[in-house]
Amino acid sequence: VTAGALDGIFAALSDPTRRALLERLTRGPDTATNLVGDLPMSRQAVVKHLQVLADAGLVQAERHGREVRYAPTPASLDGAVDWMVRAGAAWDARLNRLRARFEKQPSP
Amino acid sequence: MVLENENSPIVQRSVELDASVEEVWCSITEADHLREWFAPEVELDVIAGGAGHFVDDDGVARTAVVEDICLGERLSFRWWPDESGPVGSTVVTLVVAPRPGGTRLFVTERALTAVASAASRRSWTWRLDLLLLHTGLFVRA
Repeated sequence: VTAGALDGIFAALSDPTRRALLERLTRGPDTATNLVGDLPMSRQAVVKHLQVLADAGLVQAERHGREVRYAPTPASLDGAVDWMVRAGAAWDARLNRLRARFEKQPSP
Repeated sequence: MVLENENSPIVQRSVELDASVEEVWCSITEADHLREWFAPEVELDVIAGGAGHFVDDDGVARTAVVEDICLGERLSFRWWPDESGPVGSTVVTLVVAPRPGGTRLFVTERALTAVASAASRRSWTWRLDLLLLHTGLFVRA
């Protein structure tokens, strides 16, 4: 995994809807239409989110006859990437709080 | 995937802070300060070999041991979720460096070999699950 690819993964997973979609797909590949049923958003919005996940290499579209099923790629479920994504998100949150702490203080 | 044993998973961040090195050092070493940004519950004995305990926003509790400290410059500790025990430990290193008009804090968290191999075992389990899902032989609970 290159730094650029990791940036793409982080960017794709920065959105809670996309995290929910990926989590949903780990229970089994499914079509955008079926996914819409689980989410309060349009099919178009779901497809857009799936495209972002696909561009980051986290899911892939598989054509089955007339329907397109989305499946998480095995690499996206690698424990190391999973750890990096979660540990990275935790540090982003901590460092944002730290930065905010010093921003609140008026400069002397 | 190139994230195998010798190339252990790592998270690196840095942040520019509008504060002096001393202020940032206090923020990363004093429990009262750490509670304001690091985790809601913090105990940390900032000496080499000192023990620590953290509880995150999400309730995950971690035990820590200070590995290395260089006053005003660098703090390094090993920590692990209480749930997994030391086998799940990672090493956090915080480095404070002066910058014109402020201070930069560098953070590194590195997973150890044990975590990496546990992680790749997990990934094989996932792959197997997926394979079985694809072939329709397995339904996850």
